[in-house]
Amino acid sequence: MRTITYAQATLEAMAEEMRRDEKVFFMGEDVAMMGGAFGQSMGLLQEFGEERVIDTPICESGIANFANGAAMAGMRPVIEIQFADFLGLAFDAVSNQGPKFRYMSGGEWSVPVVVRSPQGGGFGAACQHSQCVEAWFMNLPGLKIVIPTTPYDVKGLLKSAIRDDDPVLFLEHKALYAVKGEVPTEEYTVPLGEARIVREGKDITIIAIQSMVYQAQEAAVELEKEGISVEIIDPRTVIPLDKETIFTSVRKTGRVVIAHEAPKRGGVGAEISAVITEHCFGDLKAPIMRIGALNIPLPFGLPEKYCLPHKGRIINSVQELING
Amino acid sequence: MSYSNQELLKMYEQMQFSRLFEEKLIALINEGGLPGFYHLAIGQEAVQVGAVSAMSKEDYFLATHRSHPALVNLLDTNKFICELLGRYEGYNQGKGWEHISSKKEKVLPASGDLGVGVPLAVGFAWALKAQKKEGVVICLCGDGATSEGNVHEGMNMAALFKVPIVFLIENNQWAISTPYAKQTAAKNLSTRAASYGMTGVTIDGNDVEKVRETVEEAINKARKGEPSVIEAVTYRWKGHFEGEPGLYRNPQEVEEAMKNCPVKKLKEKLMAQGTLTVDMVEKIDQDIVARIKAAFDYAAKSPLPTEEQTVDYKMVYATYLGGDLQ
Repeated sequence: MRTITYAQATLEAMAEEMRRDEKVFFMGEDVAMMGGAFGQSMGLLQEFGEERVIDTPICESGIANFANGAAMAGMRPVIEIQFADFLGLAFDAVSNQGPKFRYMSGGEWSVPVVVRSPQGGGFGAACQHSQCVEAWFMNLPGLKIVIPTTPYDVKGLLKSAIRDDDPVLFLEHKALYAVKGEVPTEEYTVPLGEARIVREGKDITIIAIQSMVYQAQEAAVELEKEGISVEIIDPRTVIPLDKETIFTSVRKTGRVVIAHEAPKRGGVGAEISAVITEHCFGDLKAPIMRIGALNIPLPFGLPEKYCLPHKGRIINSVQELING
Repeated sequence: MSYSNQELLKMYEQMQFSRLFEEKLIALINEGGLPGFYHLAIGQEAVQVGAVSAMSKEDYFLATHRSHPALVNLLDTNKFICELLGRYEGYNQGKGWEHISSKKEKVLPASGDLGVGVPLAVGFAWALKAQKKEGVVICLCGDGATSEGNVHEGMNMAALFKVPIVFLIENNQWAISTPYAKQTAAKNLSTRAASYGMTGVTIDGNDVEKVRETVEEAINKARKGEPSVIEAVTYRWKGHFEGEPGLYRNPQEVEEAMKNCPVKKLKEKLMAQGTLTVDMVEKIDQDIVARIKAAFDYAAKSPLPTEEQTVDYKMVYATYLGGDLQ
């Protein structure tokens, strides 16, 4: 099978969905003429024209509210917030407006908006261009949150998100844009709400998000040499959460490490950990361990690595849980 | 522009309908019979009635929390009052309350957060144009909300993208307890339009004919892709919501403002020219009171949402494919 990058996969998903449905349009800062801050929308303007690929003024909140309105009028907007850190500026629109309109109108309106936004570290771009933000939005009914890891998934999930009738926050990881993976040329989608078993194992379950999936895979190879069999699960979406796949794995291994790049405190790991404890307490052989960024604003440059979680910390946590 | 007697009478009836409806609300609130906080527009009827009169059937109205004059005239009275009383039969299953909305009647929801409606309405209007639909959006906004960043962002995009929208700023001179002079150093709010490349005008918001005429012109421009701003100056007679005593302002100021009643103004004009008689005034009031009473009686008997109708996840999410959304 051919391999393409994660960035190319998002571009293909956009182009295919825009060809399939003329109500889909794309707007955001620098998405048209420039082709996106990371080149991830290069060529869309040329194919679909400036009525459907729209550069906006710098106004994250305005863009996100505009998209809610356009969606209510029958369009299917995909917007981009250039860095996920800027979602704070659009927070109300993304969390408190779009996701509420369906319920508060008794189903009169639905708001099929996709809010794409690149998150994550790896570039040493300091504390307002590097964060993972999925947990900011966890405590809100009405929103769906997608956190794709591989080129295959990012394409299939983005297509599903665009076809979904609810608002979807689609958080791409910018350090993964250059990662290559197998992506079929044939049409496919990946449904929201199905976790992926990245690797099967029997001793311990690592639930990992985005960059941590790759770190966990490397850790698993090293741990295998010590005779530890690691199962890795990538939730792919945190709302909806595929609890069944997680519970099945936990019941098998009895040990859990949850790894994400966002800070550990109040992170998605806390929610997943609580859900596991509620449902699988009797199956647990050890406490659940969480790995996340330190509670420090991410610094500029290389010292970022002192704050972000990595393979070494995953290995240490697994060893601690297995060896007691 | 001058309106026919029939048109003027209709505007009088529409303003009076809102006035008597809100007076009924006050009576019910005083009896302790209503849930929630009701933001009344008594004394401001001309702004929204003027706007509603100017709209065509393909046009949309974006409401605010103080929109009874528009809503009573755009919506079915029974379904509207059911919604205000939180009944399942209401437009939004009783879940919207004053954030009422209706696709059929082309009313867009008022958010609980001020100013948010502006960029939302701009996106909605843009989408109408993108889909080659005829409609224009009348985007209502209070003076208080104009200090919000979203209003700036929305107006800027509207002008930039040539969106079919009319920004109607209903300046009632009070943002809860903050008077206009403490909200902005700008002499008026319509001058802001120029900074986005739009035209803007400030008018007497208690003159329903002037409001209608100005909104009609603005709608015609909007249909050609020229959004604009209208500031209609009026005055909030009551507290921020009914029951809020408004102790922060000088009662004389309120009394003075109440002399400039938009409903009375049109009524006197119509009576002076013989279009309206004492008998007609009485008949109109009787009909309105009966209509309002019937709707409140209907709503009072209509059931509240059950637990199942409230805890209804199909109303939270439209698409279920897998995983746990609850």
